[in-house]
Amino acid sequence: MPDQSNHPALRPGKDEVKFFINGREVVGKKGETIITVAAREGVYVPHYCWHPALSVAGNCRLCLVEIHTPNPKDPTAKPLPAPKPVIGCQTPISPGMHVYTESALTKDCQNGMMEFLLANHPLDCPVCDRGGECMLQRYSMDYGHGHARMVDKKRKFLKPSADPLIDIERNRCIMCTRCVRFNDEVAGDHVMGVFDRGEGNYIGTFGQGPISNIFSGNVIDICPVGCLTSKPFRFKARVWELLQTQSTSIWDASGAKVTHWTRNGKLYRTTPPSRKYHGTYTVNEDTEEFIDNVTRFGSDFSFHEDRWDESRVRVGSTLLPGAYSEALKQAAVGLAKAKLNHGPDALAVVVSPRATMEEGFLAGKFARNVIGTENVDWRLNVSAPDAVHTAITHADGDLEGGFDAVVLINGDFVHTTPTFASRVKEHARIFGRPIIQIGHYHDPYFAQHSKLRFHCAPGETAGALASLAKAVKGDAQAGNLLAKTFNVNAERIEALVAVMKAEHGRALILQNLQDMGGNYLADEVPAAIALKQSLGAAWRYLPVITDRNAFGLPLVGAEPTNKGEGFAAGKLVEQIESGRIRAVLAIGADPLANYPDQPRMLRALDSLEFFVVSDLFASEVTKRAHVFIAAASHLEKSGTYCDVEGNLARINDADPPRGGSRADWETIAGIATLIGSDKFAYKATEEVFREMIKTLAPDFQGSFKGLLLPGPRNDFSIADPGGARNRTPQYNPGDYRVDGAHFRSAGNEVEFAAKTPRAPRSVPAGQYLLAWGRHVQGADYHLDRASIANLLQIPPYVEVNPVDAEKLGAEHLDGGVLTVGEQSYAVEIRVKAGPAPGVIYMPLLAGRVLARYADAPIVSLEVVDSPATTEAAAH
Amino acid sequence: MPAAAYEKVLLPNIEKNETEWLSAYQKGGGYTALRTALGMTPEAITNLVKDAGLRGRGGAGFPTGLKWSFLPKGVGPRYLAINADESEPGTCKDRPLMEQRPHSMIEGIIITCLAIESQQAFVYIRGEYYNSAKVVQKAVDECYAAGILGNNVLGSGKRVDLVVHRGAGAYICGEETALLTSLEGYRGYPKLKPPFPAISGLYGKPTIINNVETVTNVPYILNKGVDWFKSFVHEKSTGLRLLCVSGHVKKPGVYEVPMTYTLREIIYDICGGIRNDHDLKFIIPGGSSVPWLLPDKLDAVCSMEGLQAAGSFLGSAGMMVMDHTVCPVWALTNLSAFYRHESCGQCTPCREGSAWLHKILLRIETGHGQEGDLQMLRSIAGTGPGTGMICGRSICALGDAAAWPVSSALNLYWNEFEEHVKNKGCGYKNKRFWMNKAGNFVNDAFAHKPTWGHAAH
Amino acid sequence: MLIEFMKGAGVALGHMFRYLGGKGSVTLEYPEVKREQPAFFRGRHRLQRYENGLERCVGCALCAAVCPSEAIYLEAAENTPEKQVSAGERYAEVYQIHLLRCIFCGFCEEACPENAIVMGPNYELAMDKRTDFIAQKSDMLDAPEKGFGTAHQYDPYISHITPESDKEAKGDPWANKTGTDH
Repeated sequence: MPDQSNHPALRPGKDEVKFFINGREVVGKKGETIITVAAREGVYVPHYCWHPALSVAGNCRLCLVEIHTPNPKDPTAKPLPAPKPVIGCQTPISPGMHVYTESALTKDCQNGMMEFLLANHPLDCPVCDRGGECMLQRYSMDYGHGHARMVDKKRKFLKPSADPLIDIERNRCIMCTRCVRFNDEVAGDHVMGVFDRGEGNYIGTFGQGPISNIFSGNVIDICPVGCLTSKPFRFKARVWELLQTQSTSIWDASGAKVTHWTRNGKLYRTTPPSRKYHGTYTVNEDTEEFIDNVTRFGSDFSFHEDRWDESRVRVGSTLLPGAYSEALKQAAVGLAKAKLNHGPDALAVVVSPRATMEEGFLAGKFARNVIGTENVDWRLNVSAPDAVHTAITHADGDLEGGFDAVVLINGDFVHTTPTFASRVKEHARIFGRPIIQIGHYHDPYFAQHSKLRFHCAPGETAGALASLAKAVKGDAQAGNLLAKTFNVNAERIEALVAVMKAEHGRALILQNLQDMGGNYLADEVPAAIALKQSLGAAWRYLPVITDRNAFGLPLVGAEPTNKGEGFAAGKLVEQIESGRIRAVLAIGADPLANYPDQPRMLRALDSLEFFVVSDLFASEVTKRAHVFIAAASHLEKSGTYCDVEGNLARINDADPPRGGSRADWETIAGIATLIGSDKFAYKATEEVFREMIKTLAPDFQGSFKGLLLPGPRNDFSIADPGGARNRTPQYNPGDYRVDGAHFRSAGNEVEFAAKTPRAPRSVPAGQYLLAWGRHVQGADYHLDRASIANLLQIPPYVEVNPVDAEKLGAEHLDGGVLTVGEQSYAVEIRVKAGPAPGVIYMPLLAGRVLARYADAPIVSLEVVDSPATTEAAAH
Repeated sequence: MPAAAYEKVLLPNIEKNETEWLSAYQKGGGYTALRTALGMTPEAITNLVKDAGLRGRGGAGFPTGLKWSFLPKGVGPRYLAINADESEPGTCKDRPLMEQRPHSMIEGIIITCLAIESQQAFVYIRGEYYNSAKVVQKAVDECYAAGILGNNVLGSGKRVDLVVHRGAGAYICGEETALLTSLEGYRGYPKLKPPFPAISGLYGKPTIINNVETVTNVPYILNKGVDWFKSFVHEKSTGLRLLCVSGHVKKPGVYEVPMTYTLREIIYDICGGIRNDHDLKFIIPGGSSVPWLLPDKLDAVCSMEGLQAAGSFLGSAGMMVMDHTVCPVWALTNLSAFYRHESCGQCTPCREGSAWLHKILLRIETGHGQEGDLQMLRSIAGTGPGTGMICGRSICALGDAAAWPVSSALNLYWNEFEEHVKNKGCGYKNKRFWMNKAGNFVNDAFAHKPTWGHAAH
Repeated sequence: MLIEFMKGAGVALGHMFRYLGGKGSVTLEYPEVKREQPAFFRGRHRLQRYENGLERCVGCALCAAVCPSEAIYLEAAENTPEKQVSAGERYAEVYQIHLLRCIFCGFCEEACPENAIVMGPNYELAMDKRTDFIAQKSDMLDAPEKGFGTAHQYDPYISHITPESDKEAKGDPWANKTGTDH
């Protein structure tokens, strides 16, 4: 879109403006539009194209209202009617103005627009999936004619099949262009547009390809009519038949809130939280709570046919299905025996990074109180546990109140924590806040809004951050060093230092804890924290990571207190092989995930004396268990998650556990009770939570009920109070707001000095350093079992800097062969400005494509013109 | 007969149909006004134009000097965009101006730039005006070579750059804000107002948009003085105006006339009357979008105020004259087909309304009208400006333009419309023609898809 | 006493002889002879087809939504070119009515936008097993007796107001306009 400067949130000024809506005096802020003030005052102005999170398009004309302005010659006289009705979404309020939202002229306008919109709209509501939550249906009841006058042939478009996830039915489109603006502004992907002209115009994607960004599913919600609907949900059920359960995403560590829509024990769809709207709870098309596609489409994995919903006990070489209580007994006996025979430290409790805080808390309590060991860990997936531990325990940032500047270090943020990244970008974009990107990988998602981007070689980031801290203090030599590291001239460094030095109310340093470039994190995390500490109190540190509960589990003791131990990064295998660990209780944890040498891990598991697994599915791991305990899925249990900002959010059970499965917290408590502890007599997660929160935050004020839907989104108020983002009662029922307590580890008074960074690797000519990160799409083996997992997975691809691409002779979307050591992988080459010259970025897809390496490997890339690869990788 | 002889300044030699290049233009006193202007302050130029009462020639007739003075003080850069996207049916005045006297326009542009303190001007030329764009580009090149444009305008140290840009043939890009969006490289959608272009226009910067004819008038105001310009006056309309007369007159063409002539003088004296001495049926005085006038308004003065008093607008001065052989329903159907095709589709009332109007009219004209169709037309198009479901409710004026002719034709020819509905078709036999794909006129309009449709897809 | 008895017997015998000829009898020989029902009788549900064999039901579930006793359950699916079941994009893959729950109010018939479900004259609702009372789609689609109700061909792109006028508007060169094939 040509102009994004007219975003609703940019509108409010400071001065108060008094004017009248339907004769009632109301007060707004200068620059606010009629529609926002009216909504706040409880007066509803119908609208299609206006959306609180998008710029104003003003094309549906449904919000036309009659206004009267004061007579300039005689302010005391009767106000003069404006020559034309004006659109409420774009017209700023002015003092003394009279707005009539229910006058004859206004009604005539609404009536006329509804007739125009319906003139060519097909009468296929019985077939349309939007039926029941369609704004066209609602408005034609509220504002439309009771009949149609149009007798001519209706406009008809052929149906494209552009996107595998989103169904486009252009005949139903009312050309509000919300989807176009959403993709341009929020998803940062100029992929949709308006084609043709006049009555023949229609929305579509450029090149007729899919809407391939990770936020694309949101166009389904923001479409006010049945034009864009969900393909996986297509015709499965009518929305009024479904039961809604407020919950939170188990994939996105941003803490996105969701609503699960179920019927008869089956999940039909997952959407942003439904809101009370005109008396019913629906996914309001005005939702600002955008969620990523993985959360939206990947939450139904528990219905996969691999699900084992009965517990099993090993008899001989087979796992025989049995009662839950029997399995629990066997597990308790086996674990007790192992403890008796080999001592408590021969036992290990490993939990999934997606375990709830209650489960993590009970796992820790079980290990320490019942077994008497520190062998409890959630970090099986994490390769740099020390750095991650340091980062998580020193995080003190959040997006509450926005920010004045933000520094992004080395990260593919949009694929790590998509919703969080979108909020960062949204704030920076709307308010023009500077985004600084430093490191060997810059997120292209922010490229449009970040002028200050500094590439350096892998391994130099830590040194650069240290130099930056010095340069901000006025060290000219450090500035010169920085210019050399970043290979830019002195003015750019001056600009950078100026932004860093400026007076900020709140500024953020964001660091991606994915293993970008191997073990450099060990240097980079202290360097980043040291930079934050040197910059003063306004600066906050906020690391992000793909693992959903990575910030909650350390809080509740689900990792060893003496850091350095634990089972991260393959230590489990080493400890099993060395005979130190004889028995393992795995709570939803998958030791195979991201572990490079899978046969070795399986051999190690085979050699275990006793192995208890609580999980959902039959897998190579669960088949090796001595006792398999059927676990309840995230739809069948409740619990608490902590997101990267430190907000708590609840998942809630939409259905009772399937078959004989039980929630993991019950399993741990049951085993503990059977072993003989009397401290595990919990009846519900509420009791666990209360005990847990007592140790965590004694002064926590939020009620347990309030945790249903707290979170940054509702509390995300922009520095200026009364902003459009402070949604009005119309859009934001007050009963959802809670005092958002931020949960952070306490006692981080340690002064950090940046370590002396390691020297950058020297790379032979024609070869590259490999950097990688874990995408939320590739997070987990559970996701593989989602009903449309094949559509959510991204193809193996590498990102190459344009400079390198030119040297390689590679073009965007060419096929290529990446050679790492002995192994070669067919990849798709994407030419993006993300990686620094000399670096190839590759997403690590749950160990599927690339094993984990201790250090950034040196790789070579060869371009092949293989249309097959390119085609297969088209989305 | 016209009152007094007057000197034609805009197109003195229109019959010759030759381009006046730089040397010839300078020989005839070209760029003297620019030299004068270089010695004046911007305010002085603006005030001069204000005093002369120059009003925009593009259609709306907004006072030019006043428009210039709306620019916020001290905000830069400022842009001047010249609207040469002349696509209103019936209007063909900018084309001879650009093709015959490009330097006259360029001089006007430079003076305007001086007046509004802009250093960058754009000429947005309609896509179909290939030749005009070529001529203007050559003239601009001449000016750069002669030091008239560029960093140092005639040695004054002032800088004016001029970019010639060709559109892609969309009528909507003649709307000033759509022109700006198109110039920015986006889809030619009109912008929401406010903010007006004078505050936030091209690339978000203060921008003045003037018609070609408007700026071409400026050098003559400087040369000949305000009094000369104001000597052609009718109420608030001053100066000479290019009138494009088309339709069923004996001598159609572009005429430079003062604002004081009546319609009768223009049609019967200047243009030689109606063809074959037919009866005059109706006049569309200002381009296709304005309300029609019946012969009883022939004594209206052809100025902005005069025509407004008669119930229409001077608009872009594209006067179409129809004789008694013309079926008003067919004429109106044809006009609404244009608006249906040219609606950009951004906002609801214009996108849906223009198409719906045409669908109904086409039904009536082809004999498929139904009872109630006329009432429906009236409720959509209204009974006059400001009424109905489209007028005043669209983003730009294209919606209004689509509705005005319909409402006025219904007001004037209700009976003929009723007869069309009642008699199931058009009574004007052998008067219908349509262009087929080969460009030939054929009688049966509806056996063929019109060439302007999307049938080509 | 006897006189009263004889009076009563006289009435009974009078009736007996009057109906012996079969004229005016109110009873039927039920299994062989069935009672004619009025056109608005709300008996067992039937699902209608178009003349070309396509099902009328598009699986919109409005009948299920309006059903006061929640007797209707359906699951919809999408038509494919290979398997075109109904006239729209969508059809009812599973359509069940629990006849023990049904109160025969006729709301489903009224709510149906396609005139697909109608309540026929069949009042024979005795079954052997409880499960038989769950009427499946096949039971309702091709039931032998004829249902009621008239409907027009389903085409969402034609306004239903005056279908005749649509045919007359064929002269419009824009009428058959379609978008480009994207």
